[in-house]
Amino acid sequence: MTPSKPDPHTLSSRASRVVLAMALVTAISGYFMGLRQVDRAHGPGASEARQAALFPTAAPNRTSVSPAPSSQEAPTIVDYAGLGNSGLRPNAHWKSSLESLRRDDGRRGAGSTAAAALLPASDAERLLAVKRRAGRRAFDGAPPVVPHPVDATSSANCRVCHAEGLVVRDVVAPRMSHPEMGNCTQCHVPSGGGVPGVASEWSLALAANDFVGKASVGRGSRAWPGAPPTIPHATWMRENCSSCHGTTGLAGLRTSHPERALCTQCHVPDGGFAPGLAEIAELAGSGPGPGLNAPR
Amino acid sequence: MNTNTVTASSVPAVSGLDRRRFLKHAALASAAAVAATRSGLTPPAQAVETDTRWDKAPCRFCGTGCHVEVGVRDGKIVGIRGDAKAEVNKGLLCVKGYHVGMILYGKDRLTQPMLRRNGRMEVITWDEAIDVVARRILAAPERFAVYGSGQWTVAEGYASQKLMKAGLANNHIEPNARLCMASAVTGYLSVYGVDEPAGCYDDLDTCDVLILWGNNMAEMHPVLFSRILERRNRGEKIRIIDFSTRRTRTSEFADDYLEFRPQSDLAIANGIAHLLIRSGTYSKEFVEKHCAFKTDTAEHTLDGRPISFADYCRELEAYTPEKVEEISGVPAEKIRMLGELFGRKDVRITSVWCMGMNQHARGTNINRLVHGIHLLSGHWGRPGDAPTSLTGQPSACGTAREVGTLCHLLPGGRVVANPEHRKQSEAIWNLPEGRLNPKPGYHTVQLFEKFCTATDKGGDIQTLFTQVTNPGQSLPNLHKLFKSKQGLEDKFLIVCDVYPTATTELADLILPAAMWVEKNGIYGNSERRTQQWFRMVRPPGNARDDCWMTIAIARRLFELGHPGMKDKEGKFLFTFKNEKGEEVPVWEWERYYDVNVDRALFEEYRLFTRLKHKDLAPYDEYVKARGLRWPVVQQADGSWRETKFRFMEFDDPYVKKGAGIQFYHSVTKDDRAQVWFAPYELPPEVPDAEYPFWLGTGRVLEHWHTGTMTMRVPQLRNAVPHSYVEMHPSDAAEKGFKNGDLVKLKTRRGELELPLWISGRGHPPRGSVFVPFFDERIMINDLTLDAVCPVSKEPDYKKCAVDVQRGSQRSARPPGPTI
Repeated sequence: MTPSKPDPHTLSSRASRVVLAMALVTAISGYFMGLRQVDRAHGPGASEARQAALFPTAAPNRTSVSPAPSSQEAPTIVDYAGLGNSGLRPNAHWKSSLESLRRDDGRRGAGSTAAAALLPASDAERLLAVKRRAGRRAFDGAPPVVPHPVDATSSANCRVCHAEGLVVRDVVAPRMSHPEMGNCTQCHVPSGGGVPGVASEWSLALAANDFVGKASVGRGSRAWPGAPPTIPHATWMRENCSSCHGTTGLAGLRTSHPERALCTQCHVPDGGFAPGLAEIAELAGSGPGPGLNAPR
Repeated sequence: MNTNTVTASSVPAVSGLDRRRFLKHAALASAAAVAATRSGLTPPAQAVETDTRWDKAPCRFCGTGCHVEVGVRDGKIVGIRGDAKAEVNKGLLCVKGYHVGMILYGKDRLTQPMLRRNGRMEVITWDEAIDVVARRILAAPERFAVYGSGQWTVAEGYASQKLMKAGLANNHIEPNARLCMASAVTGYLSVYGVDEPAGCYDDLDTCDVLILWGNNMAEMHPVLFSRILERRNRGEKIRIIDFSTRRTRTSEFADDYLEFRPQSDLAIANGIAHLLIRSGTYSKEFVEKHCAFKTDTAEHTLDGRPISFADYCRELEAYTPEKVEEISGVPAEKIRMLGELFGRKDVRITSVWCMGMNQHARGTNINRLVHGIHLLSGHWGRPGDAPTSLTGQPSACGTAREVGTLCHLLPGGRVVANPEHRKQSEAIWNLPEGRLNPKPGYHTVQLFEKFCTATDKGGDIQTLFTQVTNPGQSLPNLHKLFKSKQGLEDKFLIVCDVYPTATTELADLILPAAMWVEKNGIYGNSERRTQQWFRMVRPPGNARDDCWMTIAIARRLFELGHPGMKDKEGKFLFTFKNEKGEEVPVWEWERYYDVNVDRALFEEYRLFTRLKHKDLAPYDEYVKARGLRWPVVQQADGSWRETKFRFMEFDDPYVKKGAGIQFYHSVTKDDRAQVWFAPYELPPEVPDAEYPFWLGTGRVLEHWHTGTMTMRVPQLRNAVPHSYVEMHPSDAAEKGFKNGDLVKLKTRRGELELPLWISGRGHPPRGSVFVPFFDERIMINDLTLDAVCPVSKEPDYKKCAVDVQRGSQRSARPPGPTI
């Protein structure tokens, strides 16, 4: 008898032990996962609330596109047995339609900038985007305010989402158009106030102000229908077109041809939107010289 | 049409699109576009802004002196952009700058002169208002005082200076700059014999090491800080060393964050000097050629006492790294690191500071010491090797310091106590000999003490005229220095401002002013740059130029027979002629802009600027430029050349050929700068059992000064809507405070309730709290200390002892100012 041959009895008892151990582990982990599952049942509602807090202005857009969650209240905890009858369904935002998935991906999903032909934004989309843009600026050309709380000390957190840009459903974190500027909060300040505490008592309504800022002049001009439009705004600190017009831009501002990376090959800055690059170049080489203003 | 339906229906799935369908949809979309345009849904295509006129102006806010371009349409400002032609900011601004145009349009602008009668403010005419002021002055000219600011334009400050010192022979004129940069001035004067930095912002472009002495540059001078960050992002190596009493946004960008105990910067600077001497790495050549030595004395005078180099070294002996660690809390090895850094000749070191060093019970001394370690180590005199103070107001340098609107100064670096200087000034002003008063007036803290003390108890200032500032919020210890004016019947407060403020609360007469680009102006920034702008829009209602008010008051005094309003030929002090040589009665508001009064006053003021090598160019040169740094000297070809680096032969035309570096205003008259020794001394108030915390105050990026302008801009107000107190999380936990809790701060001078912000904008160390001062509803200056630097007379807003308790849980908000 060679010792290498295993005894079938021992084998079966070993196998049964392994099976038993597996069953035990599955049961225990299943139990805890079950607990977590119940905990997650709070998920949609809680994350909804958190999102609403983070992106207050984005909320209306979202609800207009997809049905709003029926209730903000946390669902009742149920056990496994009752799960089938609990009425709990996948997230309200869950997309089961292939069409809509494709649409989102094709339009501005990250990494899908292949030569897929895109339609130009519709006027309505454009209007929406322009309106949203205007809502975050004192005037066309002012740095936009930040529609969510910010880290009060460090700009590193800004870069997490804005370095490359991010789209989470209708919430767009635009890509930085001037990443070389390191001190984000120098120009971009939160619109909601970062100071905690007794807000209702201490914060007053908006500072009353009669200022009316200039609006965006609208579209660039075209030499003929179908010609590439000119750039209807200053390009100073906006050299990175993809920041607003790329796949992580607002739907109404996006380009229909993100695969063509060299924007200024066809779209040129329009005169009348100083300061342009030419002036900055001029500055770099000169000391104080005659200014823009002729003496009066 | 519902916009969402359009989105959904006009955009089919891209992948399933064939060419024919695509064309069909494209046609539909363009038809819809046309329809939408016609129906007014989209703005009409128009690519060039033809209707907005853009003109240059320096920003209204801080002392950085960024240039903005102001867009005006139909008589209103509609936009602001950074001026790419400006060397200071190269097209960039901060959030305040981008919104500066909106400060004109707060709904509650003051538009009518108002006089308090029987406790109520009543609208009066300008003629009445000017008459009231003139008669108050005439009744007791020596009991009249003017309090202005570093926001006065050069012409405004100059006109006030002339009215007071030349006209009334009264030296009680002060700017709020006394509260802000007086210690920097006494520092420069006692080290170089002449005020203002030798270097300029160009140093930031070439330094290898930037040391921030208690300066939260990322929030307070963000455009300059970004200049450094940009260099870093281009791949240059710049070491940022942040000396601070609390962690700030600046600390996040710093290579070294060195946290020191309040007031111990004196010990740190001495520790660096100690190491330079002990290791022999100080610059023997620089010291032998260019330095002399002095020490502060028990009397704390501007001149101090000369000492030998050996004495200087002996004084420093005690400041070993270990001793400095004991005093400051900064580890000895870090002190050694700094000592080695200053000992290296291959790096260029720029030091910058602002209120941290200036609002300091020994402000003059810490200024002297920081200049001292630069001189001692030879990190002086090359671009990038410079000790440079920054200012907080747009014309603290241009108006307060250069025009000399302080109680002891005359324009152009002249002092009232010097007979020679008075004679020079009398000559320029064409005054009878002996008109000028040799006795300095009251400095700011004294001035308000005298104004808020009953006349029969020695309060010999009865009428106070404030322009472009808000002392009711910005003075320290407000209960004593401002609020106690209430109820003193014979005291009369005239406030000239653009909005209701904490100061107008107690005003007896309110004069509505034009602001910023509603008038012509000239400012001077931190780097000696003089900047000009033209009026672009009209002020609202009956608001008028501050400078006009001063001239109109002088004219009324002239009419009422005050002899001082005439020069020695009997001509009115403010006489202006147009191009045809005709006198223009500019005191009549309708005629004020018939000549450019700014230009006329500036040309007169220019004569003073040549007396101490602070030469300014003719007005028209500034019209063309984005500011010029003085001395601006005319070249052989007739052009005007600015000076970036003073006392350095390669750039400063006043340095003797071959001298290399020449301190031509040396107080020792031998072209040497003074290296000072000053000891570490305890601050006037330190935490104890009753008041166990340090209290520091300051600004936040979004709000400027007392918030009267920025709190009226929605974007800025929303960003930081109310004041708060910062505290260390462990201190808060010990007290049982949570983020947002209302807590009560209490000092020997007053108490205040405000919300707590833990781990927010700034991070104070244990045992210390910080409160910004912008919020007029939560005035932290009710609590601050009015102790001043004995030389500069500048108060210390950065440290006093405070107790922190749980708040009453109710809002303790005082009502906002009302008239």
